[in-house]
Amino acid sequence: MLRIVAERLLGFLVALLATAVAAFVLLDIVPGDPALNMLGTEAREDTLAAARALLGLDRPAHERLLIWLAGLPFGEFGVSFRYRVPIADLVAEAAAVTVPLAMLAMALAVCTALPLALVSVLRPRGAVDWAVGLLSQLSLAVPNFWLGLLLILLFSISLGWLPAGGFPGWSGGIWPALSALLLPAVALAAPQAGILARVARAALLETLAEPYIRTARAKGLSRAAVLFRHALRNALPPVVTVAGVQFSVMLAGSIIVENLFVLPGLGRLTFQAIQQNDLILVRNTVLLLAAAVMLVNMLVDIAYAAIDPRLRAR
Amino acid sequence: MSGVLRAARANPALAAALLLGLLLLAVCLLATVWTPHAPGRINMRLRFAPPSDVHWLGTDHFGRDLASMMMRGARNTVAIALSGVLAGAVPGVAVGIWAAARQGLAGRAVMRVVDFLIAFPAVLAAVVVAAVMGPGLGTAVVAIAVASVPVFARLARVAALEVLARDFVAASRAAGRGEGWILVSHVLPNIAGLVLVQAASQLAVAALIEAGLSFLGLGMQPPEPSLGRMLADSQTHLSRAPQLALYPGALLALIVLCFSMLGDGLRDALDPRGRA
Repeated sequence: MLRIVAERLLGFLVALLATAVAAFVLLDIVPGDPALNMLGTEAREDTLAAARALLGLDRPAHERLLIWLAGLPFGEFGVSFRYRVPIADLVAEAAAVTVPLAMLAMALAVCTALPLALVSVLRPRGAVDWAVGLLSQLSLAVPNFWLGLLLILLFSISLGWLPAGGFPGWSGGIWPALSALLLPAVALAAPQAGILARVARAALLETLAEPYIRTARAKGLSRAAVLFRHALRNALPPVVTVAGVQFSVMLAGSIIVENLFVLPGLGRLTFQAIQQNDLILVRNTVLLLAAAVMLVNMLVDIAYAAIDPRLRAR
Repeated sequence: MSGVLRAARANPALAAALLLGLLLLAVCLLATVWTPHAPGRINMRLRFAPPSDVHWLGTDHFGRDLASMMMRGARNTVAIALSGVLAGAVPGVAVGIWAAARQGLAGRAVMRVVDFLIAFPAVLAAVVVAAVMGPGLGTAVVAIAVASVPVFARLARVAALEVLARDFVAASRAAGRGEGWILVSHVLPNIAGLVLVQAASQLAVAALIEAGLSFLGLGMQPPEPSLGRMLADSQTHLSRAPQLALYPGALLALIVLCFSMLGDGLRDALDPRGRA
């Protein structure tokens, strides 16, 4: 187990370094002079020189890369050109929106997908199974920003129950903040719940065909007991893997949903930075989102080994 | 082709997807040469007009004909999705087959990179492409291609490995055929069906990426209509004109649904064992 953890950790660090270098090459070297990009071609030469000095752009590219990489472990991401504040502060503020949003969406997805999968395997190919399958197919086809619009239309405009957008911050109490995150979380969760329900259903059906399930039934356990105590537990590994990948997809998917609901999270920060040509900020938020994705994937790998002893032995 | 028809008769979902696909294709082709009105024409006296004989679905906040915008927008989404998937499938399949033929360190290293890229969310990659290239048509195509390459590479490698282990390949080798000839004449035709099925499923993902980028304003630029941008614009007028959000979104969902059903149906038709 320790070897697996060490291996995955090493792989994570290598991938992180590779992503950082790729992000630097793509967003710093390829677009050319960052100061010119941000200020536009009409900027005066002394303005450009001042900007370069402020951002440390007067150094050669490889030096800038090394300085950036060396600062990363200490949370020194550099200074945002537009906002004139350390990027670390911007990012920390935004993460306080995006991470709870993704966690809420994940919880919603799991809490709908698992019960749906359970009721549909009670009678495979029955009416309920068919309806759940149709629902999951539909949820996959609906773009999350359209679903978001529909939710706003229903719950904010027609019923007036929930805010249509904006975020009051966590300082005003937990309920106003949570209610601002609820609709975006549903929009993020729906397609993932559809996928998760499919995966869980397939895993459950496969487990239910195993001989030990027949044995459990034969020794007199009820259907429900077999389903919950034996089948669900053994069907978990693929579900956990998919759920892990989905959590990272939700973190990245926040770029679109946060813009729809005007939430000041990492996704909106990234998008605004692109619009304002603040490529230094883009490079950092993209790396951060990518790092979160890779971190989750690593944890899933490790969790997988912890759940399934066969993987540990290898 | 006759195989597909036979499969469609046995599988109603596939038949429905094929019919829907043909219908959408006809609308897209029609939109290329004709729409009821010029799709970008602004008429400020006709803002938010209700549906009528002249404007079938009414007009938007600039008095543009909604039905015409949707037709042209659907055409653009489908065309961009097709180009992007094609641009990703060709290099992806090439890399996959190459990695299958070369089992050494280089082949394994490439597949490690592919595995890493598959786990990378498509939206994030698309946004990076948009940041580097700036908004536009090319950005959407490249973003879709970037997200598709690793998917096709992994599929092609697995499928090619299976073909390479068959007896007729060993026979060809014994007959003195070179590795390149075997890859092109044996492996490629034998994995083409699987690649096609994957392409259908990938088109659904591609349409979502295109719409997402246009929604953010990073895809196709006005005056050319796009479904994603229409949805983004509709948000400001949601309480006054909800139909501006409802119709384009429903059309987009229909396109995505059609592609994903096509992929699922063809997969079942190709491999009856995989049917759950």
